[in-house]
Amino acid sequence: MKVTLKEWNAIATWHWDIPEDEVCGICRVQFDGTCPTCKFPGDECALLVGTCGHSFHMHCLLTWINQESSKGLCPMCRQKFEWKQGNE
Amino acid sequence: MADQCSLRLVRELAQFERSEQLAFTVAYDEKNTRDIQALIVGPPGTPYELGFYEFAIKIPPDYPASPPTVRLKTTNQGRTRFGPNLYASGKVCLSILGTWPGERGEEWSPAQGLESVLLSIQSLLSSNPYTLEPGFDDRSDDTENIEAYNSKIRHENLRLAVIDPLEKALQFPSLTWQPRTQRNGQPPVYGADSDRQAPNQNFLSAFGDFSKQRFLWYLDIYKNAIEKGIVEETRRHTTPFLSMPFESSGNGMQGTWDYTKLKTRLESVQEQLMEEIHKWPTEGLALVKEDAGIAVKLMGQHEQIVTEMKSRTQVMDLSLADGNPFVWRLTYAGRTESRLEGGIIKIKIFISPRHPVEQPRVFVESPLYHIRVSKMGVMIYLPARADEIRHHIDGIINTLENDNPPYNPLMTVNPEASALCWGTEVERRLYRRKLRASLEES
Repeated sequence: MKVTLKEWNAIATWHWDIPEDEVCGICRVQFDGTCPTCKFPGDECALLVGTCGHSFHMHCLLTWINQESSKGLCPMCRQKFEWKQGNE
Repeated sequence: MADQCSLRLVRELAQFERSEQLAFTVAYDEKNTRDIQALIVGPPGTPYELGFYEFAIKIPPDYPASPPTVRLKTTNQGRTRFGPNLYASGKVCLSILGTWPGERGEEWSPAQGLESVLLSIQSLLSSNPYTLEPGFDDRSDDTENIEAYNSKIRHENLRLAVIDPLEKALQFPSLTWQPRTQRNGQPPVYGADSDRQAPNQNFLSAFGDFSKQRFLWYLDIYKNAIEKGIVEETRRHTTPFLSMPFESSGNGMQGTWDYTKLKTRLESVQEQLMEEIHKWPTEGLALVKEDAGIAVKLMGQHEQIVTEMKSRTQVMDLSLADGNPFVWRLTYAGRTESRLEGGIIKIKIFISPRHPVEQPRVFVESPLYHIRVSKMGVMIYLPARADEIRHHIDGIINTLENDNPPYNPLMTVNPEASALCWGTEVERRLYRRKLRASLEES
């Protein structure tokens, strides 16, 4: 018996390459969710992975880092916050 | 950014509701979650032991980028400085709050939250507050001052953080529940105008029942502390407290030794609390006659629990005293081959007409020497949920049957039994023997 495919729909799910149950230390929402200011997760609401090992929603972290009292430090470990670039 | 603030706050507050925290509790108006009332129970083993310390917490619009502001409300109306970092004005000096210069690792960051703030404040209620004064951290050999400071805090803890709030809660009992029963169904308003209202009124609205329940739990410990105080103060009775080098006239702890008076006031609070509980059945019967919702609901819950009990093998009886749904009698027979074997334990549960705003009071009426039962028979237990009576019954039974509970000083209501239960092998055997003897009596 021969089967002819007339049409097919691909469905895919994605999540950040980070343990699923981890939450952003600032807004305490899971990374696969959005930061409180965004509606849709994904590239628009990216994550920043710090060289210190702590990750945050980009928008959450920028609110903090742009504030003078942050002194550019990671909210979790208070080392200078620098993030990994690109697809490392 | 207000959005970010409230979403994060809702998560934190929900977490509070889930966690079983005996050391602190929060209250807030759903319409304004940025004004939060918090109560910290003074840690056992410190001069602040089992006192009720209330704080007003305000959350700024840019939270969690900025820290909350916190004020202590238990200050004897601005007259008493409860510690080097707890000013009479209500100011709480803490680097995490930005009210004190701190090391880089101690300052506020958005990774901090309500829970870490409350834990930090709790650590100020320490066993040696004298050394928390800047410049005094290496003065631990100042034993005379340290003892003088600790002993006056112990006195004021009982006077201002235990007896005072209870007297106020008894004086204005209606404040604990009236707002919720208003016909328009509006929730009680907590703290919105906290700065303008008398501070004590807020205290009552949020934590009146919480404090009453705990007062009954910890009564033996308060009484022991007062007896000890009376013995110690024989020579200094009615003389003023010593001043500490870091205290000033407007920001210190002034007062006089009078444990004898505290004893009278404590006994009167106990009496009034019991009177209040014994009024519940009468108030309840009136509600039964009116067919009030709460009476019908309790009747229904009782019927349901009794039906479910029949399917259990456990010998137990649950009845309403004189058919009144506001007084339940639980008779429990110890399981064979358990520590409670052969014992018949009779428990009386008083349910408030304002349930669950006012929580049930549970008394063991038969003799029972047990770590979770105080001398006057008050039982401490934690229901999985506070609103339904079934969770209370389950909580009571679990507490009775739990042979090996972890040591928790905040669950200690019978100091003598607890010392034995978590003592040496010989003491542990003595505890079991005393428990058995009490069961045989029953």
